[in-house]
Amino acid sequence: MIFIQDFIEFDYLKRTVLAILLASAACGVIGSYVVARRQSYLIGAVSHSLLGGIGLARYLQIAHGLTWFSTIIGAMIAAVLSAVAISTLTLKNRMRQDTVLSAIWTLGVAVGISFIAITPGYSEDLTSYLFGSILLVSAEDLAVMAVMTVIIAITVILFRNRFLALCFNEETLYLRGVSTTAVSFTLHLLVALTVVLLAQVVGIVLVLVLLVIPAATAAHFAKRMAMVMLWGGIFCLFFCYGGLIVSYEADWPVGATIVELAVATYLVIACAVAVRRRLIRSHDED
Amino acid sequence: MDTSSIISISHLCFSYDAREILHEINLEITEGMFAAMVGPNGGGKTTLLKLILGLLTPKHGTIKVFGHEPQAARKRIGYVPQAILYDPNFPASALDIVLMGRVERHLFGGYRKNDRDIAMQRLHDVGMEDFARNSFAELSGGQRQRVLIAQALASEPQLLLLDEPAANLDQANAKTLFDLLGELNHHVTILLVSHNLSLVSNVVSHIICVNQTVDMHRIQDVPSVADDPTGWVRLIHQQCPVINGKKPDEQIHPHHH
Repeated sequence: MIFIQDFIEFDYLKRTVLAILLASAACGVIGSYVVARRQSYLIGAVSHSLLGGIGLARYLQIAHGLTWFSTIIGAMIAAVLSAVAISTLTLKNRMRQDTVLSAIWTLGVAVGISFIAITPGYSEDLTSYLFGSILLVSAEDLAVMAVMTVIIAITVILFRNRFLALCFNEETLYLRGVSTTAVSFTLHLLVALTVVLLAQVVGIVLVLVLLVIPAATAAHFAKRMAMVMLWGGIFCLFFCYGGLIVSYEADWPVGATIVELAVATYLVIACAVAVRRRLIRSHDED
Repeated sequence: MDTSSIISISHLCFSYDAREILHEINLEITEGMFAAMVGPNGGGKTTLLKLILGLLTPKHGTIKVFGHEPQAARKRIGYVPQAILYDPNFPASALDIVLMGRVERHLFGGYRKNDRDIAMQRLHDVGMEDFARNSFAELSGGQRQRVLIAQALASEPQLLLLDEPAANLDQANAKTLFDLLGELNHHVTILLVSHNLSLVSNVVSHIICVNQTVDMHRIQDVPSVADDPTGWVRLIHQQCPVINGKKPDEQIHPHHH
């Protein structure tokens, strides 16, 4: 296989494999909360807002020579800002959630386009940001990704009881005297970081599926949150490595291949679970 | 018996917009009581529970729970809602759900052995200890209800509030539940909402008729309790606005808008 030869030979493929490992860990853990809390609609807004941060980063790098301001740092700033905006603006139904989400979604894209337009020199191709450029992950990107994954892991280990109760029923947590605003805000920030991590792998447009499908697939059979997280992570790894290898051999776009593999697997498992339930039921009736 | 005040409500009025739900409520719940609220739908039973929990704020009048504002008393209250919204596939065991009754006790990290011991004990109390490791989602409606009661008990409350705890239970399970609550009442003050007065009349100490106004009776002062053919509760008691059939509008004139 060309992939294995190239993996041994080239560092960029080793970085790609490591980046996927980090993103999958975050995907399994945070995706489980997103699915249990039915908040996948958040992801679209946060992920598209990244384009604003990426545009800003490219502008500052090229127009002002701030080379340290990488696109992943720009993306992180945009993700955190949009998570903060969504959390505060929708608090206690201050503003309608769908209004806030659509505004952030499109504003992010608009800001991105504007910054790219005023960036001197060549007009940049946005495709790699929109649909992923996992093969272009730099060593610095990898370091930032590692830090983000560690932050996510530590926060979840510390606050897992509160997150679980929040996802089960917000009022239950509130009536125990815990600030649901603070817990929900923290979880939104972790979702934002996870979106940045996964956007490195599949790009902004395809993040939504990759954050939701692995945990949703695992939720078909895993009975406890920790198991959904573990299996969600494993599925995410499988989708990403599978998609990477297939696309590498066949010269297909990586992000798209990963997403197609993920959705196909989800459908197969959903059908298998439905068939099994029906068989058990007809068995019980006999 | 110690008769220190648990819930003290005076001159309380509450309305959603212009519609007055509760008018000029005065109520004293003292330690050790087991009170059941009865009354028609929309009469304000659940609203009163939410006011006691601090989920709603009175428009007029005051509520004190353990002598404090309801929000400050929250950790001493165990609450079992009538229905809660949760994902039917939610990935948690019955024990996980019960432990949520102790979620506020540790800012960081998981539950301690002590928490798990208490949660298991409460599952035992509701007869669900054999289901501790089972998925909460796969339990029957009645079993889930008992797990949620165990959750409320795991918080070691001094006051237990239950909204229609028997709504999803058949007659036999409902009787078991009320026997259990009667047992728990040795340690905990209980206030619940119930439609089925014949079931609760064996265990409760007080009946509270709620229909825009409230009227509390000692159970021994209620001459008789009978189910009417529609399954609704009928008390033979003339002074109570719920029972004598008059609409509240004919008796009182809301003055707060």
